[in-house]
Amino acid sequence: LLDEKALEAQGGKFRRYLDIDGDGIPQRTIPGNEHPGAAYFARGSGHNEDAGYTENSEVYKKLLDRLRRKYETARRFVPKPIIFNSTGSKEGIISFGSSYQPTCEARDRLAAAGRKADHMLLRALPLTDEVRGFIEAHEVVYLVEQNRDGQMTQIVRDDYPDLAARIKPIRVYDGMPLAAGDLVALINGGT
Amino acid sequence: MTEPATRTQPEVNRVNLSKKDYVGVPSTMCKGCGHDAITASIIQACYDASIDPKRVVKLSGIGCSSKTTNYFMNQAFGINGIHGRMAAMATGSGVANRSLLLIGVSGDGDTASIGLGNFLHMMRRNLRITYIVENNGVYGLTKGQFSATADLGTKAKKGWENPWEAIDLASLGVLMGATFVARSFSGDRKQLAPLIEAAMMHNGTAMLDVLSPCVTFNDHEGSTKSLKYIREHRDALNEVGFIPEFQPIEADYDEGSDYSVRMHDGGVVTLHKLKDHDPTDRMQVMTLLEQARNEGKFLTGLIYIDEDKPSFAEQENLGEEPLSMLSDDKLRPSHAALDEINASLMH
Repeated sequence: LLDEKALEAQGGKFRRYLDIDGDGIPQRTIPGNEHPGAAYFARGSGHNEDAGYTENSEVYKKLLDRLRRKYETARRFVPKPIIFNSTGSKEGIISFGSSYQPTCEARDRLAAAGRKADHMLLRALPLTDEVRGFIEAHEVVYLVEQNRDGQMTQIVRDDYPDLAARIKPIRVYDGMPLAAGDLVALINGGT
Repeated sequence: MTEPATRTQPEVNRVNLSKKDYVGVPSTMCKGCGHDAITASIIQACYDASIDPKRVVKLSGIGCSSKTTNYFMNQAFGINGIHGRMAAMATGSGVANRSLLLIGVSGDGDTASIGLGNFLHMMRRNLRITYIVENNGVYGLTKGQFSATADLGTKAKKGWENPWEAIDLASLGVLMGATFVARSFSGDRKQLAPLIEAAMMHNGTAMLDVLSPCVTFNDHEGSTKSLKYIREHRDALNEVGFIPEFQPIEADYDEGSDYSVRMHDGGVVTLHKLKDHDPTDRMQVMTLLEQARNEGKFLTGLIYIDEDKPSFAEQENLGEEPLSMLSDDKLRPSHAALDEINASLMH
């Protein structure tokens, strides 16, 4: 983010959508920046690296390629997953969002019955290396989601095709809040 | 030897800018488009009011009208938002930095169809913004379908008749709480430019419904938004002037005499009344608008104004310092501050 001083230090010019360091993230200014070189028009049409109007297909492709680099850069900055109480078990459970709390309770119930499992709370996309590390460390990983089609499972398998077979989707999609008992039943049922 | 020709310096305003400094990139509108005339009035108003482009944010949605933010004030930040959501972006912008002047440009499709929900709630909140609807009764960018402001009975180019009631944006603006409502016509810069200037000085939502004939898709016989029809059916409530110097209100409020309103940020709107109309009487204004609609007329001029209602920023008690400019130490209170807040919630 360039303020007035930073913009002046680079000669008063910047190119809004130019990737200057290869991370896919260009420089930007925000309204309120009073440097004469700060303003630009964020347009609803295709644009070039100077925020100018274009329908040029080569420019468009270049822009999409930059956005791919930006997505990869984001892996370094998004919140990392949290891994709870590693038990050394060969089984793991991945939860995210509101499935976190029921998964904690399900894990306790499973442990009380003699079946220990590690737990990872996924907090962001794109996936970070810790997610791969967790899957690699377990023979079976149950991925809990309230989605009929198992979309998060698809995303994880797409990112780690070599580990796809280890991931078992636990899909609960009856419209009700997720219950720990349902998870225990599904995990014990060998889904 | 002949003397070199004396170069005439362009006239400059109080921020040392010429009118040329307020233009944008060349327009790609159809030749004769009403929207270009509105752009010219915006440029005139900003120049006359000595607006600093660096303190302006231009916002628009999608449509022919929404393209026009690119055609004025190149030195100002601008953004096309998604269709119908300019009001939401504007509200966010106004909260992030209340010191910036927001100029929103929309169309009758962007505002009265897909953006109607956005529009209604913006009118309620009295966010400080100059909100211009460039109203031609059709979806121009998609080749001329009736919009929600197309009048009942108006005819399309191929003869179809509109069977639906029109949304009157001026009435809706007043009803929903906008504190500055005006209507004008793209071809009347003498009326429109001072209205825009006054709108920019208003401490709240200033909604301008500007009739703007679409020369390509809605300027034919049978259309009630054609140039000819608008000229024949305009009905001015007042002649509008704007005096940018800061002066106290002195005029008496008698019919036929001038009526003045002092704007919050300086300047005075003067109204030479042409009709029995009190722009601060909401009930009367709604009646006049409905009467005009029944008669097939377009009331123009400054229709309604309320300079007393608190703006959105005042209502929400936003601090004077723009939120987007707060330093890290102000954004991140100390642990001691957090402990104090938590403790206060425990009682």
